Amino acid sequence: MDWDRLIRQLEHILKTEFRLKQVARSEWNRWGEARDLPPTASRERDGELLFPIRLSGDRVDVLAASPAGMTETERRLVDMMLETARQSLPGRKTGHDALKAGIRDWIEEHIAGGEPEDGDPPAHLASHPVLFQEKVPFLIVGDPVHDGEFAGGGLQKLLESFFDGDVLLVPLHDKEWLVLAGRSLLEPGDEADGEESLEERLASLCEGLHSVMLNEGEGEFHVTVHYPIVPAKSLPVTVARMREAVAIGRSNRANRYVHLPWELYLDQLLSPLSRADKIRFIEQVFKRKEPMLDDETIQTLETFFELNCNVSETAKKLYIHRNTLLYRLDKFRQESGLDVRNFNQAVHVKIALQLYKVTKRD
Amino acid sequence: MAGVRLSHIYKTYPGAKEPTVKDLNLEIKDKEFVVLVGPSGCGKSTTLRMIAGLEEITEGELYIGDRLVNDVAPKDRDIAMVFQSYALYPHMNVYQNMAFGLKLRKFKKADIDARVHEAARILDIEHLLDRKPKQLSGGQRQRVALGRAIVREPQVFLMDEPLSNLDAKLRVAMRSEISKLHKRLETTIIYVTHDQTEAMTMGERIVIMNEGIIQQAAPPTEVYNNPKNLFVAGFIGSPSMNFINGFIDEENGNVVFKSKNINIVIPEGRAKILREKGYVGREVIFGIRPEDMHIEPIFLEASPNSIVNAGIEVAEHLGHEQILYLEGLGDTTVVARIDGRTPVSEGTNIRMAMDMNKFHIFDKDTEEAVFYQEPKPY
Repeated sequence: MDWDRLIRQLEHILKTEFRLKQVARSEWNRWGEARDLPPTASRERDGELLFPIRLSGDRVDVLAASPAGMTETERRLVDMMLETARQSLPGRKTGHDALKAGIRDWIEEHIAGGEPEDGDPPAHLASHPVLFQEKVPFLIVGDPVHDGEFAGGGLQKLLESFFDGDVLLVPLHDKEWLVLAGRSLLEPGDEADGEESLEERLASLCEGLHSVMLNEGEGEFHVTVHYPIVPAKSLPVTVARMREAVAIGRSNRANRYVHLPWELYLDQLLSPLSRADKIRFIEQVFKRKEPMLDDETIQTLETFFELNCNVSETAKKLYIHRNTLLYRLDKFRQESGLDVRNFNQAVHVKIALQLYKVTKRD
Repeated sequence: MAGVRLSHIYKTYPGAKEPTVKDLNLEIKDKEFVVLVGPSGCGKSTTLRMIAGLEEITEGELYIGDRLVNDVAPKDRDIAMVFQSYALYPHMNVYQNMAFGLKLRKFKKADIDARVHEAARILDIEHLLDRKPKQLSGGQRQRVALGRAIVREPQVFLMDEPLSNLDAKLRVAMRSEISKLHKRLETTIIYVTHDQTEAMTMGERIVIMNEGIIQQAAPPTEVYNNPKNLFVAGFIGSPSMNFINGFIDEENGNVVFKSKNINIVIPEGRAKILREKGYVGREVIFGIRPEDMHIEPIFLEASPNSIVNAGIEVAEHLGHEQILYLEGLGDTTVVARIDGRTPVSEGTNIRMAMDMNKFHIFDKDTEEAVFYQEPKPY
């Protein structure tokens, strides 16, 4: 970082003189404790405003200026500017790690009480620009078989390449990571991009993220995404929603690794039902305790619903003749008394099928 | 390039009572194209995922080349994977998608460029290099996913149902593309599918799995003509082999297979085997493929000892051939495949001769093929 250049710029804008100096780390911490200031916040001491630019070992490099020439707003702007500058230092790891730890603690604190609520980030995070820019949040959950290099930064490097540097990776729980990627990823690059819905673009990115970790040998992980957010406003709630999506997706959809929240609304709605209630609904719909649902029937019905009850498209997707599909649907109607080409009955079967799969796995 | 050796491999998931993969032994040679095939849940994908390093090996040893890789991270195994969900990176164009892995590994720009263009040329996607994934068709996307693997020049390619998301027509086309690619790249490919047609048409050797156990590993024609057991015989072939319950008897010095409306004389060579193995007087399962049942007069004349009479329950005309569903033979519906030009009618009776060089007998208890011949070492 070219500190001299930065000092010249600050002096030019604020019409105030800045000079570099050092203070002992112990002193610096003591001055901050009285006002509960984090180590990265500026302090006023002995008629000087002190802005930290590097915290290392037992000393702190600071920029000193006269408080007379600066308003409170200007002071906070300088704090924010230096925070950004610190992030670009080669030895920034300490600051970066502190930011990640701060975000993690903030999230956990808000989620710990049960139903999470929106809340402002703590003071020591409040000046960080990452939290005030619109971001696309992803949640990665998994258990790498060989996690040596993974834990050592393999994933960070991979994600930086994948998102072209604009990414923050925050380890949350054990085997759980939050990824905050830049909103620019979703901006249409060409005409074809504009035709895609936001959900389609988020789904492609989520699948791409899952795929890149698999292809580059990091392992297989469960991945979810959320609509873009400004982290300072809603990060803890967003993380809670993403955790819920992964948990429900893992439990209800075997062998699926990408869990898109907008595909799980029905699952979310049904998940609080007790096992007894689920079984009762299945029995009511199929009119028997053990419905005759073999793998072929389940696959046929699921594909039929997935393709909006379109017979031709379903037959094509299943690689079967249209008549074979009609035969299977008729056979199901004869056995269950339910015609899935009738909307109301299709809704019942769709819900009963979803519950059947969950109860079978329990 | 390298071979792969799986030695006494077991996989047991936490909490599971039974292993998903049991004592799997398989040696895949350098440059070989091996297809793992079997029904859903047979352990084929788990096996591939263990080779990829995505699943821990509970017991046994896995070698890629001469290197024991049980504890080697996936990225250090020198493999490339192509999966069913071949998601491309949506914000990158085709070139960037293919170059990504090499860029990450800090390859020189010129090397990356050369590899990407060479792979694109092989896959005939050079004209698509500037396009974004969403501007590609399903088949083109699949080629890019293959390209992403090819540029790495790995020792082994692992493919898990890579054609499953394509429509039927494209699947057929891509099947031959991948086979051609294998010949051109001269590399080891381990391919997983549940589709026996894919397995038969692509694999130099196919490994049929069921309930976590290898049932048979052999070239496609060998598996088809010389199945080791009832499962393999029934799994390979469409329509499936007919299985008729009955018993072996001896009449007038001949060994015969008897079942409802069936009394056929076993040729002497095979009769001798049945006598020697003690099957005379025992219940067995008789197996015959639909295409090994004939109605041509010349065949009927030549095979007087294997003629059966059956009623045609259903006749499916497929143009070049007809599939007949026959009733009255043994305890099951028997399927026959005959020429498309022969006039037949549902509800009538038909005389058919079974090809007595092509039938199989399976032990009722062990389900092993009685005439199975161990092939020469592969």
